[in-house]
Amino acid sequence: MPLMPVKFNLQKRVKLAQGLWMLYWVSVMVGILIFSLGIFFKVELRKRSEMMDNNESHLVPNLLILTGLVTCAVNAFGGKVCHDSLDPMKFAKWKPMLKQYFTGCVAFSAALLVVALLCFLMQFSVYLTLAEGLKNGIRFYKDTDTPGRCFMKRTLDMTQIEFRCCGNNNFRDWFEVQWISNRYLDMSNDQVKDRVLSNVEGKFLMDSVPFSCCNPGSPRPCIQHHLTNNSAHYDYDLRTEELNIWTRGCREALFSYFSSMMSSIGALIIFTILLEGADMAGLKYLTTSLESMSDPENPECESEGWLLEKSVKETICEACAKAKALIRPNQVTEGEEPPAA
Amino acid sequence: MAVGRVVLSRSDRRVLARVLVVLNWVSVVTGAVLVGVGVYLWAELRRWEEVMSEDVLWWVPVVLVWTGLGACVLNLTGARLCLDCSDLNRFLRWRLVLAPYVGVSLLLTAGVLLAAALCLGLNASGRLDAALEAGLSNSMRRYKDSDRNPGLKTRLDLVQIQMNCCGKDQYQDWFRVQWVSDRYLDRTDPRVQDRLRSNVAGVYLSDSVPFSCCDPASPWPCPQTHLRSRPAPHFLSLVQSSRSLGLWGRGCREVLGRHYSSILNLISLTALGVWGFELLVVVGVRYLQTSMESLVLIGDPDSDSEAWILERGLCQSLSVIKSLGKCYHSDHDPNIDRPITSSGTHGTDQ
Repeated sequence: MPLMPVKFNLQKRVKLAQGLWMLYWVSVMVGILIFSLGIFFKVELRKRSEMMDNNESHLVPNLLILTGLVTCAVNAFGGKVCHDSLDPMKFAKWKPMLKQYFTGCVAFSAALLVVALLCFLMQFSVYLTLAEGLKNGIRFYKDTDTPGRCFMKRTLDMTQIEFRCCGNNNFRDWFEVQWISNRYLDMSNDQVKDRVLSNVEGKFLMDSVPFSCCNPGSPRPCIQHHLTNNSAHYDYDLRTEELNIWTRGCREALFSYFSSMMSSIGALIIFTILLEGADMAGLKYLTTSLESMSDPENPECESEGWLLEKSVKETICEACAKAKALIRPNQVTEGEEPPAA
Repeated sequence: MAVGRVVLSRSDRRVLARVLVVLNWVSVVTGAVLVGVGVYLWAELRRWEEVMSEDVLWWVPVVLVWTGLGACVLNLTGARLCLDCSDLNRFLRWRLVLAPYVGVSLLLTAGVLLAAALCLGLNASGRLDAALEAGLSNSMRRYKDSDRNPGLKTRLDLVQIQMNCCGKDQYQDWFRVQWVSDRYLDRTDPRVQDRLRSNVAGVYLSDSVPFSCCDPASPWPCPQTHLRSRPAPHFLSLVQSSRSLGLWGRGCREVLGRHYSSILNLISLTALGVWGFELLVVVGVRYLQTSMESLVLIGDPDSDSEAWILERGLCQSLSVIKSLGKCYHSDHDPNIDRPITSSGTHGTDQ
């Protein structure tokens, strides 16, 4: 008993072929979109790689680029088959490849599901990499004369300005590191000497933040230094002052940026899976309706199209049996001759 | 003596019509490009509108958008007209529309040229520079009044951060205005009182700059304060005066001027290109129109016909246009108030 049979006459077949051809071209556009989003994501990761210690994983964007290309190829082939389907001579060329094509499509949809899952799950890895990278970034902020780290200050300043954030968790992270290089500290000054000596590791720690933490939206000039000392500034209270510096941490800001990108790409992949399913169903109907034509010479005759030749259970059993036969080809069943060695 | 006279055969006319259809469609696209460019200019002007004082700049995007839209509409009509005009019968339907269409197209082409000239003129005349000069001085003076001008401080800070500039011409411009609001000045502090008293106008001037003047690429922390006086603040050692202070070196007037100049140059080049293209299309349509008109006179759809740009020479055409405007003097016309005695043919003069 075929699954979901539908009767087709010539007009219906032509309409199905045309509609399916359009759907395949939409799928090719979606494939191009996935490809370009993969490239965009890769470029963004490269741009922020200094904030992630150059340790970030490029697995997801590479997979997306590959997926986009394969989607385009698969759907272009499907579109070509649709285009040729109403001409019996051209269709005869494609007929033998259809079974492998359908299996390939099913496998590809499963791969798309894996990519979608990765898009959602790899966000954790991005979060951890960001946390580690930002911690190191803040530590190496002052090392503008160390080769390999001379641009960390600029990158971190521009990130804080662009993403409107300060520090790793919040601005207090800057209080725990020495972010002014010893080269620019006036060591003859008593206060400086005092601070350095009072610290166990000999670091010059202050309750101040770099200028890039300043919020331009604040109505008063930016207060960068002596942030915890309310009496150092006129009419200033750290607890109520919200507009002076950015209160959000850069890890949260960068993570929300990347996670929204990855989530929307994941949603697009899920949409692609549904689209592929619709494409496959349509093509199956079209090919079966063409194959089941009672009189191949007469294009006007009626035919029946279906999704699966037998019911779902029987098809799965058959597929399992075939898979078993592939895995264990040398298994001898009762009454059979053993194969020649 | 006709200007630009050629003889077109039937196949020539057909080819001309087809080519014109394609060119008209391309012109629709260029018209859309002009609209896009106008919208982009408007957006860019709006982006930093707080630091520009004059309104004359707003005319340019308006002219660009309207000419672009006009070009799109006109060329869509043109494509439809040219599609029909190679065939004599269909041409007769559109005959009366074609002449005014050519006229309106010429006007539109002049409009595009005007837009290009406006852009170039703005650039060259120095009005842009004057607008920036006045606007920036104004904004810097009102920087501190965040109660009365909410958002101006933010915008000026963002200009300095995003365009990489400080002050009007140099960072010392900030030393000449009070950019710290009175609300945040502790008047009981003797240092503040000192500064206020030392100044004739009683404003609080200091040798410090806002944080937005800081350059992130500089290797040391930004010394916003005590930029002129020595000794430097307690935690920063003396910075050599020959090296930059870690602030943006250029003034915002120069930077913004260059930014808008390059945009205006690009736009005027685009508009000139569109103008050239439109002119080509108008000339082609004129040739098609005149060839079909002369074909109407000949009567045979398959024969060759003459085409021209102007029927008479340039001077004679100008005098015709002049005489179109002259009033009809009834005193000297011998034909008025004369009874019609015979049914003679009064041929209509072309």
